[in-house]
Amino acid sequence: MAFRVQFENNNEIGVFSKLTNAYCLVAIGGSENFYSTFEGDLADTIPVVHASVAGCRIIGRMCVGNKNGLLVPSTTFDTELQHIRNALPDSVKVQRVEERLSALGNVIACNDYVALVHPDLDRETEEIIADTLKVEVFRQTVANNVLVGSYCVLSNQGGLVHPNTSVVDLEELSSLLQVPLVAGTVNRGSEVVGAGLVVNDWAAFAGMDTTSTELSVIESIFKLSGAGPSSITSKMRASIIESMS
Amino acid sequence: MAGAKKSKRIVKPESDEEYQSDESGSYHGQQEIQATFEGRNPDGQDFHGIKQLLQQLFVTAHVDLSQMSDMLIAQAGIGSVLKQSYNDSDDEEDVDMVDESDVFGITSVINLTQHKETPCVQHLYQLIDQEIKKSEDKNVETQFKEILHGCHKLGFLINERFVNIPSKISYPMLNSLQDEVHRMKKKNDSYDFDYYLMICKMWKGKSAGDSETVFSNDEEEIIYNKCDYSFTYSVAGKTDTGLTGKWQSEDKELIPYRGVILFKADKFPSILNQIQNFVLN
Repeated sequence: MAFRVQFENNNEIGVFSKLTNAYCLVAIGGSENFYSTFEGDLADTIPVVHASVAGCRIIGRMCVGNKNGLLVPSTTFDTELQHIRNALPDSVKVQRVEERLSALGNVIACNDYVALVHPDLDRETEEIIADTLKVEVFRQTVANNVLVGSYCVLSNQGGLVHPNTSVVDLEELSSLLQVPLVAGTVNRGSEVVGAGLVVNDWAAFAGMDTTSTELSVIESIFKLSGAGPSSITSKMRASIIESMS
Repeated sequence: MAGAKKSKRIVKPESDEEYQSDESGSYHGQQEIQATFEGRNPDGQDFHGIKQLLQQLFVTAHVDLSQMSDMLIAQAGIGSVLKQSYNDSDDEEDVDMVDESDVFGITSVINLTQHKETPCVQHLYQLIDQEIKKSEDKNVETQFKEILHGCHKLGFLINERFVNIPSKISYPMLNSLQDEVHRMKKKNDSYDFDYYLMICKMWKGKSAGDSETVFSNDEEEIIYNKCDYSFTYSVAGKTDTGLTGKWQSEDKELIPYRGVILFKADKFPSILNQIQNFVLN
């Protein structure tokens, strides 16, 4: 299911949250509405962790992760790192990364199997990504832009990229990542899809300004309509059987 | 369509200083760059820029800013957005470049009376009612209530721009707004405002004895001093910065506030005159 939410009047959901198949990080200081939308849909299946990184609320752009691990920048406070480590499941490896390009969420886009990184990323960081997140790493640009994390959103089912990505690039990226890709926008025409949207295999959260066309593109490329983790499927099955009897 | 271009008004260049390139790499204040801005009628593509500027004013308040931005765009012939000029020719390409460029500021007025049924106007009233209750000034509260909810014609004046764009720009923008409202009055009576409502961004000193009040837009201090009724409310913790605009390490920490002002519409011309004098000095 794709939802529209707002964080303190702000539609950039991908800035204030980080969503994976194993956990969800949300920034502190938001209103209860924001948390309840996330927790309502996710808390049954995965932990929703309130966190900050380096005292900032822009955690979605500072860190990157998938079900296997989470990478945080070197500016993260020890207390924050400790809190995140405690709150996340043991299967998720949390690692602090010394990297000049410290806004990891802007320079890395990943799902559970592959990662796209900024062409200038350190070799060492690339190795840490491959190790911690257990992904294959590709140095690529999206629509001639090096900030792959900002202009590309990936899940295991599909991906949404900057609207100006050419068809040739789309095909090349799609074969690299092995998922279908579509070029589109979020939040009423915003090209920075990475900042406007978070997605995992069964849910997506976009800003309140997202039009229904954009939302239906998101639901179709990420295969979200009707999909859900087993608990949701069983609830749906229960109501379907009820209506038949 | 190229033919239907809105009016293009060239506004004074911002600064006549030479561009000073800094070799040392560290910022030490007093650097100026030359830039030329122009005012354009708000257009659909300015939606995100306008919304961003409204967001810096309203911060976390529950006001539907998307709807407010749409309203500003829909008001044909009222208001201007500030955009960077690329050069002075009327080249088709340059005109397009200006069209797509970022919105650096907006000066406009929302006809609150005409739109009073819309959710965003109601949110705005609710915000004001809510904040004024906290100020515990009964007199001001009754005045605001009477004017806001009575049968006066109200306009919500919006005067937003990026921080550090000099206040020189406000005079031409406000002046053309005044002309546009004047023209609109003749066609649509509801634009014959009795009062203007405005929210200003200001900063107050942290310590109790510190009476220093700084306005984000300098010309708003003039409006604040000449207004009929006003109150302030704190937005501490809701913005992302507590320092004033000089970006130096010696800056004091100031607490951000919002000042809500009501002034009679017939005062507008004299306020503008004062602003003109202020920016010329």
